[in-house]
Amino acid sequence: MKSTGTLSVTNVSKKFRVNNNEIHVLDNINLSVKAGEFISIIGLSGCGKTTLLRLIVGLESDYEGDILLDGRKLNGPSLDRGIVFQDHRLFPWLTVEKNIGLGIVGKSDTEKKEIVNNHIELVGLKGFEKSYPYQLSGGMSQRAAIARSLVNQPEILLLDEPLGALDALTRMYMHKELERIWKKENITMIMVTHDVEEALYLSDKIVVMSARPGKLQKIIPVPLARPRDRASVEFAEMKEKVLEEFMLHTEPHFTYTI
Amino acid sequence: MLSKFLLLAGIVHSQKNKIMSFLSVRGNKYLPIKVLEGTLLPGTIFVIWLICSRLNILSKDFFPSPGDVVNGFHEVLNDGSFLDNLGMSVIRVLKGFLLGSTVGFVIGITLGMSRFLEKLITPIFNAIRQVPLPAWAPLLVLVSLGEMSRVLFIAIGACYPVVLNTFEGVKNVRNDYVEVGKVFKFNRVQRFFKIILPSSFPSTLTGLRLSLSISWMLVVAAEIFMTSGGGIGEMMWACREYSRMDLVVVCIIAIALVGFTMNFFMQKMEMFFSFWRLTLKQSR
Repeated sequence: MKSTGTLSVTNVSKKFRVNNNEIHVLDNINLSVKAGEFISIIGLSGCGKTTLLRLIVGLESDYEGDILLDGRKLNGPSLDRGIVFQDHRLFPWLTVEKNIGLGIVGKSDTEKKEIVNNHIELVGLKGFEKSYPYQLSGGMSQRAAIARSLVNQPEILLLDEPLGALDALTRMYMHKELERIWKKENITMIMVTHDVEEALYLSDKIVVMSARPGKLQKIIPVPLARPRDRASVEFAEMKEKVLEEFMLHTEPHFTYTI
Repeated sequence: MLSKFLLLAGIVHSQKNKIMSFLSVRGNKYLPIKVLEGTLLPGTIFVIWLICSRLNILSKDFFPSPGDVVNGFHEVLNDGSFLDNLGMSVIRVLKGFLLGSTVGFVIGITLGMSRFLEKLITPIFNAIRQVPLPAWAPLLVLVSLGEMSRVLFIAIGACYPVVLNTFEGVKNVRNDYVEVGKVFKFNRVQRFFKIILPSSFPSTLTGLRLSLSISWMLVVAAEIFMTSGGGIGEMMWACREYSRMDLVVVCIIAIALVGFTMNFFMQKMEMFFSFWRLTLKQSR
């Protein structure tokens, strides 16, 4: 187990000012993530889960409370934190390999080439090095985006609904891939999603958030063995437990015995 | 007979896509069809011109017949000064275009990158832009009586479209891409060369294309307003003075052809460099 990649969020609140109105987006969030953990944050839209992610990556600032990575306070974006956005955000004017190599700094050309090749292999895009983003499918674009975010070997990877735009089958396939990459890279991952099954399949812990203002409703550990079986009884029970938080679980039928 | 023709026309129309795809090579239209489509209108105009001059609807003194113009072409091509003049104009245009578009590019980038400078410069720029170009001529003659004034005249006109399109391109760079740069800790130079410049380049190219065709129009005006430097515009004006309307039309046709060629190459270049944006549009 690596010692780097622990994250602690303490008493974090965030307000936005829109036309002189203060909007409370996050209210007193407390969360601690161990090194190498896979955490999912789920919640209805507008609950501030993306804002929380943007705070952690450093794209938003001006918040109350503390966010510490390995005990150090965050100060803007840094190469030790990578992010995969919902829309892949690959640069359309660059090929796949150039997109992936975009963020590599302080490396010689040969080293850079090797890093890019390794990551292309990691995400399974061999043969598409010279393709442009418009020639890729949604799933392939997201693979390239994942590779791009990993080139600097971040301690923590943040995923903002990375598979939200993919079709159901591709998404299930990407769950497997994401789990494989997470194990291979041995890093901390925090994923925002609104797909309960996705969260259950991948996470060690599921963080449920409630909306307006965004509050931490419950942290649900997922003690299921990996690789997880979506059809198992345990999986179904866990799913009910999570859905209960959203009042979406199936009510037990009325039964009686003599 | 008519009904059969209509039926046939209907079939041809309904199968248009199939017929076109049969005639096409890799998505491009079959070349003869493309040429036919492109020459249909000019051909018609030519035929009308021919008929009008044959029937003496157009007075020979004011408007030459196609035959006169063909003879005129023979005359000027044998003379040699015609191509010299054309060449002088092309070089003049390139000088003015390079100067104007370079300055325009720098101004456009500056306005796009700095909100302060945008506020500072935009009002003056918009005011200056309203001045009709010929109004600059008297001032430019004060600057220089020679080639410089003509080049500057073209440069002023060439500058505007590049400024506007470059500025537009930089302003429209998606914040999403800028954020990717932030995550990778790009500095200002990296942000400019890796995100802003490539992202706005297609728009800049549109500006350059407009700029070049405006430059080519302006060279004729420059040579008429600020004479004795040679060039196709001056030659045309001289021909008018001698009432050689056939040669005037020769000059007009030559100007149109050169302009068309320039625009064609700029369009190709635009498509070449902004392939990713064009395909983005097509896929939508």
